[in-house]
Formats: sequence, structure tokens, C-alpha cells
Amino acid sequence: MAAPKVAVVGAGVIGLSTALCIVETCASCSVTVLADQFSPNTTSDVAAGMLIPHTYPGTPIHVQKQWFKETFTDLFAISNSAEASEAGIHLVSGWQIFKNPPKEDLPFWSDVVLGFRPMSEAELQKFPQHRFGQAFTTLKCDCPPYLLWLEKRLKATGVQMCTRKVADLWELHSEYNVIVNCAGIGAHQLVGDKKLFPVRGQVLKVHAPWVKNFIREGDGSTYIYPGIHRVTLGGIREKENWSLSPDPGTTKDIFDRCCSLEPSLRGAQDIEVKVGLRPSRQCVRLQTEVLRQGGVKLPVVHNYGHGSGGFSMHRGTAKEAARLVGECIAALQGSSLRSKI
Amino acid sequence: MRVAVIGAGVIGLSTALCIHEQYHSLVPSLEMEVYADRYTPHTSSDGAAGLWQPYTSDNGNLEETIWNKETFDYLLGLLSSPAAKEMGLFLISGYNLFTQPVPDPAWKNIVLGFRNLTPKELELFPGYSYGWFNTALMLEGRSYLPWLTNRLMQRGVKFFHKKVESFQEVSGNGVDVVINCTGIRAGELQPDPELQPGRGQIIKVLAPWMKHFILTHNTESGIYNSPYIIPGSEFTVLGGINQHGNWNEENSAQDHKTIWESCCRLLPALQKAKIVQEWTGLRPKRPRVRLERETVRHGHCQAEVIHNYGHGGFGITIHWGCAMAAARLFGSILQEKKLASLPQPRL
Repeated sequence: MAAPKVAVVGAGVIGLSTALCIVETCASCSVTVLADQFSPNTTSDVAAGMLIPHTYPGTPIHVQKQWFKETFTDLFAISNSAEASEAGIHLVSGWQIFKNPPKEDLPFWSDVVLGFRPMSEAELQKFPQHRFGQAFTTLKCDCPPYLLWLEKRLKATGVQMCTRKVADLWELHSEYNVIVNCAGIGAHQLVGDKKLFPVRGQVLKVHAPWVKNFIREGDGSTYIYPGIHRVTLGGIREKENWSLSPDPGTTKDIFDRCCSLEPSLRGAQDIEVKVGLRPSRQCVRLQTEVLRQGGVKLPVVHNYGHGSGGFSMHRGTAKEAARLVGECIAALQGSSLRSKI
Repeated sequence: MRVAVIGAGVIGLSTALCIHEQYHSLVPSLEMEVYADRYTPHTSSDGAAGLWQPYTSDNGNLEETIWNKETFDYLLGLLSSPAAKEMGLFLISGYNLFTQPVPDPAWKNIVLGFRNLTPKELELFPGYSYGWFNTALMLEGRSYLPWLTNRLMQRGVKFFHKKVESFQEVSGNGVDVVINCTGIRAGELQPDPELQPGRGQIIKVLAPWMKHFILTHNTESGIYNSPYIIPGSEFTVLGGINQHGNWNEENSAQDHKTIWESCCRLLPALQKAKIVQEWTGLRPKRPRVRLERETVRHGHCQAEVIHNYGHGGFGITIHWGCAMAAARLFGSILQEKKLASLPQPRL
């Protein structure tokens, strides 16, 4: 078999990082990224990109911890290098605060982030309505910079990026040997996955450069995440709401909730409102499926359904997806050898 | 009662405001004037990054530790107020790095969340084996001084752009109390061999991804003679120069090289930062802050002088505690002059 041709469908953080992992693990592969949206128009561009995991009910905790640890380790190394500012990756410290006792004193990721510890009494005084809190340092991936940096690295290795709306994975069978489905919320239509549902989010990206720490309500309902140029204020979670239009009532509500945690935000300028649909699922769909029509087989590696945890898990799931792609290629090469005998 | 404040850096303006706030209602005749040849943005306070942090060892100076704490607590109380943004006041977390274990600082319980660095955190800083993490405050001079000036102007305090050459110049003019906040040039009004410059140079860059301060320490080279990186609301300050006895206010190419190379070694991402400005300032260093009264006589004229200078590299850190101490000295002057209005018994 000539150089295996791999198509990655989707150019958000999952698609681009998966493409990169495939290139890193499969030297002979020719990889193409196909997507109808590229940065700055992907769901990833709306997200703050904070490495604070979301817990998937359907995935064993040790697996989630492994994915998070791999992601954190890889990004930590970039944040410590000369490429940090171009990649948009930076450390940020802050607080996760609770009005009621947190469900767990030590979330599964507490020993992966840096300096995790309970907040002191003095620190909690900043939040008079909250009685418990956790302080730690984590990483933030700002988009578009991170996605643009991934695209640049991909292009440098010869990966093609094509704007193309794929309506059906099967349409790719004559051009590619393996398909990697990183379509995010698009997988609902692309592969008809009824277990995948949107959780609509709305954020405000504001100019408030004096905000240097993150603040997060423990249940994830309200958050303030300082990025390179803008602070992301959120949020909302609306299950099964497919609307991409900003809701003015929600904007005001988010702004008020954030100002009650950080009063200085009243002075924030240039409020930009964005909406994204979290591609939510009980667990990330990370598995191989072989499509068959007539006598023709098309291996597909699915890597979608990361919900609120895309950034937190992206490198870990990308590595696993690349491994599955490697298996598919080995299987194809094995069967093509056998067919020559 | 006429009060003349000499000096319009953070010390002069905050002392003026503290005294005016406390005594104006008690002394209706209080008239206050500020004299300075340099105003914001040309004072030492404007060039300083504005990070609240005392030196790592207090030399047993308990009074100064208390003034530092009073300043921190005062500013912390203002954080949630609408004034905070205009003042240039905000929280910031960050790292202090050492090449060997050191005792905890006197201010460990003043700042928020003080702790030692974990081994994983130290991986970020090759060459450093020990360190602290804490959350402190930034008070940017470029915002705070105009804010203080506005508060003072609203209160009717008058400002004069003038270099005062002697105490007599103001005391001979009918001023009752002189507040001497002349910083590094206090020696020009009254010789003080203990006051020496600690020349500092900084490079201001655009590095908006920086969210933490990083201060390195080298016991051999001394405080602030080791690279530091302090992100502000607009620019990030790179520094690490503290030359004792050097009065030169010009930027030095050699110092620029030292700062740039050592900061980029500490944080490789800085190589891509755009340089915006360079600045040199003279820290008004003294073994202890001079905060005391003195009666200055010249012929028949006499004036009470309150000295408040010599705050080294921690002026912003200590300013409000010193302002309140100066205000207490002012109160004792008033007591002596029996000008504080006390209710008189009716006959």
C-alpha cells in the first residue's frame, strides 16, 4: 500500500491536535484536514480553553485522569518554551469557590494542576457569599492563537487544510484509507449519533487587563477566565438548545453574576458576546468503526463528544485516536499483503 | 493653619490626603499646598512596577512591618470598591525564587495564600531550588498618583510646580507645618548621609500572556539586583538592577543587556515580547525610613517639619502606613497648638 491517506474531519481543537498526533506517530501517513469551519469560527474559539476537567459519567476516572495528565504535561512544556506566546498557552492562578461544601475535597485532577490546596480564611474573605474554596494554578489555551499555531505546525509537516463540508463519511472512501471523525457537535448530523447533544453556552469576552486571576463557581455556572487580550466571562448551560444567537437577557445575567464575584469588572470595556454548542455526551466517543458498503471497507476512528472538557482532554484523546489510526493502518496493510498472495 | 507638602510622589500625595481626610473637619482653617518640581508621570513612583512586596528580610524593623501590613489591609479593603480600577489597584499572584532554602518573610501572613513552591512548579525555573507562591496587590503609580491628585484637588488642596530650595522658603512664608516627602533628593533640603540612591533600570514590554509576577533573589548580589518580571495592567516590567550610590538617571545599554538576557533566560517566552520603553529611577534608600518631627528655626521663624522619606524600593508597599503615622505626628502638632476644635463648656 502506498503512503496511507488519512482524512481528519473537523478543525477545532480536537481535529487539529488529533491530526498533529497522527503526523507525529505515523511518519508515512499523508494527512488532510477537512472542515467547513476553521478558526476563528469553531466551537473551540468560543471556549476559554481552561485546563479544568469536566467529569464524564461514562468514562472510568483513571482514563480521564490519564488524558488530562497527558494534556497538562504537553501544554506545560510549551508554556515554558519560547513558543508560549505564539501558541497562546499560559499559566494562570485562581480560585474555585463553593457556597456549600464541595462534593469532593480532592477532585481527580487535583494532583495534576499546580499547587492545589484549600483556600485560606483570608482568601475566602474576598467572596463573602462563599464558605469553601480551592486555590490552584493551571494552564489556559487562548483561541484563536492556539488553533492557528496548530495549523501552522500542521502545514509545516505537509498536512493539507481544506474547507469542505462533508455530508457523509462514506463520500471520502475513494480518496482516503482512514477517516478520523473529529466533527464535534457536527457528528450529530454527520453520523447520526443521537447520544450526542448540544449544551449551549454563551460567554462575554471583555477588555479587563487588570484581572490576573481566574475565579470559578464550583458548579461551573459562573466563571472569570483571564486570557491574553480578553477576559472570558461565563456562563450558561442549556441542554438541547441549538441556537447560535446571543441572548441579551443571558448576557446581562452573566455580567451581573461575574461582577458580584469580581466587582472591578463593572469597568470592563468592549464586551463581545459569543455562543458555542458544547458537543456533549455521557462519554467521549473514542473508538474505531469499520463502515462497509458493497465489498468496500472504510475504517473510521471517532474522536468526538468532549462536551465542556475539550481543551482539558484534547492531547490525551488525540494520542489515543492516533493509536487507533495506527491500528487501522496496520490492519489495512496486513490485509493488502494478504490480498497479494 | 497652613500646611505645605513638599514632594508629589506616592509618599507626598498620600500623606497629604491622609492628613487632609483626618483633620480638615477638625481644623476648618486648614489650608494645604503641594510643592514639587516633578509631578506624575515623572516621579520615581511612576516608574515603579507597583507590586506590594516588602524586602525578603525586615532587618528587625518591626515598625516598618506594621506600616506594610496597614498599607496592604487598607488597599485590600478598597479592592471591591468602584475606585479600584481608577486607582490602578488589583490582585496578582506570583513567585519568589531562591537558589537555597530561606526563612519565611515577616509578611507571610499579610499577603494571601502564602506557601512554598512544589517541585513541579520549580521545574518552571531551572537554577532555582526553593521558592514561595502568594497572592499580593498591584498599585500602579501611573494610575494611583492621578487618582490621589484628583481626590486632593476635589478637597481644595493647591498644587504648585516649584522646586523648594529650603525649609525657610516655605516656613518664612507663613506655613505652619511642612511635610517633607522629597524622596531621593531630601538631602538637598537637609544633608542626610544615610540617604543613598539605589539606582534601578527597567524595560517595559508588551507581554499580555503573563499573569504572574516572578521575583528572583540572589543573596550575593542583593535585593532587586536579580531578574524580576512584573506584569501590569498594560505593560510588563522587566528589571533586576539595584546599584548602590549611583546617581545616574540615564538608561545604560549594559544594564539593558543584563536585564533583557537574564529575564529571557528566566522566561524564554519573553524573547517574543515587544519592547515599549526603558526607564531609570533612583530608589531613596536608607537604613530605616525617616518618619519623625523636627522643629526648624531660622531667625524668628519656626516651623514644624514632619519628615517622611527614605522608603527605598518599598515606597508603594509601605506608603499608607507611613501616611497614617505622619498624620498622627500632625495630630500631636495640633494638640500642642490646641487648634483641634474641642467642645467648649458653656457658661
